[in-house]
Amino acid sequence: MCAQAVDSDVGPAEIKPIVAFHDVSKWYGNVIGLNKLSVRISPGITGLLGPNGAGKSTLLQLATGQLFPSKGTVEVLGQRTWNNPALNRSIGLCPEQDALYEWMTGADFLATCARLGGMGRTQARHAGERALETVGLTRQKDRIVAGYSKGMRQRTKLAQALVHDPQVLFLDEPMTGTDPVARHDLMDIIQRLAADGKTIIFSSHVLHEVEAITSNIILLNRGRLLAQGHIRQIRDLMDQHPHRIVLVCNNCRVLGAGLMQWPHVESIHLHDRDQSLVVETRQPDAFYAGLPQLALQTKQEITEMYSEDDNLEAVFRYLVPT
Amino acid sequence: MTSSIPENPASAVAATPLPRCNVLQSAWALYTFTLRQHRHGKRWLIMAGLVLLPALLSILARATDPGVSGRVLEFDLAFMFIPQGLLPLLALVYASGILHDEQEQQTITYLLLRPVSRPLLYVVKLLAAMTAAVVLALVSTTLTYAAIYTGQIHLADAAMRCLQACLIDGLAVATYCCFFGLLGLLTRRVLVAGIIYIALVEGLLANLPFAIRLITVIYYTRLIAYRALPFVVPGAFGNTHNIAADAWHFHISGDPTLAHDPHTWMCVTVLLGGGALCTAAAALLCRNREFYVKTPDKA
Repeated sequence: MCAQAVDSDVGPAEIKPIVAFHDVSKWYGNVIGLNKLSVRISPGITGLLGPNGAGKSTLLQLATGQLFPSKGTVEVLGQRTWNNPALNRSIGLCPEQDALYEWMTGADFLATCARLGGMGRTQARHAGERALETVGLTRQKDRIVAGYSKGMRQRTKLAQALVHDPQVLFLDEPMTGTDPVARHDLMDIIQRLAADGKTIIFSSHVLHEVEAITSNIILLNRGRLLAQGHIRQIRDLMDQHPHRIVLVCNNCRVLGAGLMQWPHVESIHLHDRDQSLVVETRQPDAFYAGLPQLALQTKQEITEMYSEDDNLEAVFRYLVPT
Repeated sequence: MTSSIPENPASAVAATPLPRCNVLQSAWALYTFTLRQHRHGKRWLIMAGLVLLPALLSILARATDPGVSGRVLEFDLAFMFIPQGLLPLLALVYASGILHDEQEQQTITYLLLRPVSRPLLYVVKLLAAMTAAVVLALVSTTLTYAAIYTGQIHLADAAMRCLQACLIDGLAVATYCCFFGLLGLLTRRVLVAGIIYIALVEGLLANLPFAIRLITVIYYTRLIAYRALPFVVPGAFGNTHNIAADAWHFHISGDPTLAHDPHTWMCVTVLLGGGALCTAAAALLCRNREFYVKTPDKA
């Protein structure tokens, strides 16, 4: 499937983008990481979505100057990223890998990162404390990193990306492995940082995470841009695909028989001993409008109803070829 | 987004290079940080054991054979065992993984994402590794001399010889560090390659009485040591002989002053120059190298 860039606020042409990839390809030997990717990312939060191996990490590593493009150009804040250490003053990266200097305390690690960025000892200590406060790790700052929980480690990685107060933040799978509470906290932190004026590009393959934080997304698959724009607009691309709606009721077989009469219903699958059914329809609006009437007619109480297409999983399912 | 965003944010920020003083601060922070890294882990314990080994051997030798000549013991341990075995091993362990270790531990990202150029990153980390290796080499040499000469006469002479040996060992280990630092960027199996190098080049080639030994570090350190320190010991029949000349295959019968071999200043220049060349080549390699970090995906 070709890239389907939609008119969106992710990359409007009139604003010079924060991050710009121009026809970028990246090869690892014979393996392609990114394939002729052109994308422009403007301020705000942008979610980078794709299944494993889609090229998300490659994109972030190119954007942070860790890799050089085999072809094309990568610019952040209007500057080339490869071999441009000065640019690192304006960007921060929270890496995907769960690696830290285990023998250091959180405060020590942050102060060291700040000092590596050119700050003096006192300034670095204060910057580290500020960053730890931002991610809510002040109380644990003097503990050895090796004893941190997964959530605390993720926060520490985020804090090191923030310690020099960069304008652009790249977060590579920042919620990986965290529990729901830590996940919620991290989402809050990311949204606060964006509200403070930082541009945030974060990757994830857990789609509801992205949906909870931003509606601006870039979809990647097998190194190619699949779609870019607002989640709603991307969902419009799915119109040619049937929408899946799940109904939970006492005797769904009766309800299903009624639904079979509707011309826009493509298929019905019963599950859980007729306790639930999955309907595929090409006209979800008509479906939702007619369902209460049908429930009354068949005297079926619908205890739960949700659309599997309400999250980004559906976007993947429709747009990512299997 | 509710915050105020500049109309043209890309032009609002100019990523200017760090001022020179901040670069120095960064470099110093990296240097001290790397030294702290070297103080952690099991490597430190293994190295401590190696460093103590020649001193322990000399104590053992003196305890089991009280009549053993201090000069012979000094030569065997301080000028054979330490330069040929300990120094290259120290350098290999500390310098071969300058960036490779960070890459393996996946922490290199934290260094690459700082406003420090890759060549500077390499050079500073090399200097820190060199410092650790040189300090350990000096500790080992000093302890060995102390173990050999404690309780014997001519302590001042022994101290002077120890100082000279320390300088020679420091120079040798610094050169080895530069070489193994470069080797670490050229091959992933740097420990295997390094041990093969130590055994074949510094072990075998350096001990062959041919010009091939000119490519070894140990040949130049031996020349410096030979010219700086006398290694003459009494022979079995009342005569004297130079144990260094015999062991190192210096042809002093035809050329007593080793006039055909490089002079001391040339030896120092070769070692320093070789080290500088290796460092420059490695820094250049770093400048254009991508350091892949295994992400869970890639793993």
